[in-house]
Amino acid sequence: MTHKERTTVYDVVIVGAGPSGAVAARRLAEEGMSVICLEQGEYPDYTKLRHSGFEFELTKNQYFASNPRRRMAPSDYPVNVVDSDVEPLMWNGVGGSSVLYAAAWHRLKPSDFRVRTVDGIADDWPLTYADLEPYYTRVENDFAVSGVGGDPAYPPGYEIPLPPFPLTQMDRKLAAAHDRLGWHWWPGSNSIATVKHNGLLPCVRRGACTWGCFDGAKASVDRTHWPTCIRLGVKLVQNARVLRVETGSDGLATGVTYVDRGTGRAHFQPGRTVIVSANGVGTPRLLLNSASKDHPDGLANSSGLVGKRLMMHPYGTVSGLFDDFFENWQGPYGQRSYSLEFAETRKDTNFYRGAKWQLMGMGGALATVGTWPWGGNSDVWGENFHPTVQKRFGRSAYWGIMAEDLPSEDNMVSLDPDLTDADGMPAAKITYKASQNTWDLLHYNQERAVESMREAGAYETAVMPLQRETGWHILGSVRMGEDPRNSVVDAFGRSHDVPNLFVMDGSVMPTSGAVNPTGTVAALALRNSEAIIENRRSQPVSKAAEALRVGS
Amino acid sequence: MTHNINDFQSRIAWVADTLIPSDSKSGMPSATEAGVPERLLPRALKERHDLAPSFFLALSRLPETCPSSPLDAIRALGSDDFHTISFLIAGAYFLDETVNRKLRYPGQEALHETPDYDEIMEAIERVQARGSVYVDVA
Repeated sequence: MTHKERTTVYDVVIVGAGPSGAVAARRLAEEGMSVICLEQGEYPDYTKLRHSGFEFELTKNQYFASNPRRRMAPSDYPVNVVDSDVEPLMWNGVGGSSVLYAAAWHRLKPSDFRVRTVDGIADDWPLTYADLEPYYTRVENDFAVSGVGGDPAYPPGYEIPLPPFPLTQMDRKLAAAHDRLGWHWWPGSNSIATVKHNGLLPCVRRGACTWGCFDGAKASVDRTHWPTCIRLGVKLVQNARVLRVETGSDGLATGVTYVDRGTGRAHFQPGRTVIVSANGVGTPRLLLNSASKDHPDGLANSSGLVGKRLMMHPYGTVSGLFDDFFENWQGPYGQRSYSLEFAETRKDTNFYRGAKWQLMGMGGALATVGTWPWGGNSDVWGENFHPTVQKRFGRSAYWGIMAEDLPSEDNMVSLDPDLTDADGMPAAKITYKASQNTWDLLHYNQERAVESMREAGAYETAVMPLQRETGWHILGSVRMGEDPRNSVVDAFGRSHDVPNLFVMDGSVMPTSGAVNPTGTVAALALRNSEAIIENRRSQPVSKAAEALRVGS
Repeated sequence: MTHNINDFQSRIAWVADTLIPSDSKSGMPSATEAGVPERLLPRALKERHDLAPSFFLALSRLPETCPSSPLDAIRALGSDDFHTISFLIAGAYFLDETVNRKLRYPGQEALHETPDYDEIMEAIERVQARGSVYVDVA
């Protein structure tokens, strides 16, 4: 039963307080629009981190575990992964998954926007690198991106606003190896402040990035954006799980129905425009659950593509063991360095597209007997325990191999027919299989990464072809495009079917690229928000919402 | 259901030393020599109170005294219970300062370093000299 009370009608209702929701909220509020954001979780409680003592590794995967199936926080919802090769990872709270991301920061390359044109497969985007470039530049400042500009893996003009981290011995080993091999590498670009910037403090390299940054250096939007949003008057409602986007008889969105998780009461929040920014799983889940008599297959789903074409950047690792002892447990974690040598389609391979490699630290002593990135740990106990620790601790590094994922309608997010969350909303069900192209791509890149490690001096390498709990990047499930027959939203995130409904998150990406997507997601949110501002006078609005506004 | 760790001390002792025996070559102590059963495991269980019930439940399925093939006996619990037990025993072991000092692990320190910009510039100039590595679609 919806709790009926007279509610303020906002210009914009945003679902989700993660990177896209925060970028949109801030920009729209800067232009004087009234904005409310409904977030199913709360602010992260950073006091639960044990970031500096020996307890760090023992406790890091407790409150700040990336996998909601392991974390099981009250704000999390169930995700059925029985039929998936990869498990999606996320943070359901203020800051969204920027609370847990490694903060490795990239732009897509120009060819990533033109996959159909360049390779004859998948799709082109309805925008180009040049269209997005000015927005990349702006969000890179907002997200305190540090690193070194001038990377020849990108067109000229890609500068980085904050200075880089120091090169470490690990970087030097791999850089020298790639110099000898003639391969690309570059110092890591990360949305981690190296100097005081935008409310962030300089990183002290504790290496806790993916378990919540206690030191306040990583650009998670609970720190970089939400304080400004609140000052600008954005209303942020925590513990508000949105169940449905509602529409009027005119087919336009009127607002959303949400449950206050504290009271269990349902509310209707009217708005003139609705933006859904709930990530590549949460967004299609919400749209599918918004089915009605007028939208029997889910809202904005006349194409049938809501939830389809899920991409998750299958991820493998290649670890190297070295004789000499070097500091490999400190951050950023984050990427120390990266290589885009094999990120484009090559003529000498049997697969399309490519991968990004990121050079990562290994963690502390407990990590040496864990499963990551070693693949398993069944053989490290008993008489093997100390030799394993001695071999790995301070003497290892790994390349993370992030494969570009090509879209397939067989990979999808759907509503689970049986499982529901605590509020009765159907759980998300993930159906995902890595394609033969992905396997071939991973195998090729892992063979090259073994060469890289050997050239750097590794006396032993370990290859993990595809790690299951690596779905940090949840993309493609609400595809954008020009044609309403084969896309859900247009080039500005506007639903083809419901013109006052927007989607802003990684779900709109037609192809995945091979790099960490938050930079692209944030740039798209900024670009789309400015389109909303520019078109605000001609924006269609539901008569039902307008009637509520007059009466409010 | 709460458990008293003292009721499990004999099990904990053989389980801990089975997973982490001493090693004369590296000079590393066994789990009991490091103080896992009495001193370190209670700290670990306090930090990971979420895992404590399944830890004690798994322990209760093991014999009181060390069996003839102790590692096989722990493995026979199944992968989830084996993981819980081994993670907490190793996590407790690596709480010890002496153990970490022997490994030269200072913990996740706060480091305040200034980059060597000359070194970085020299390094990237070598990469730039090799030319672009992206496909120009303009």
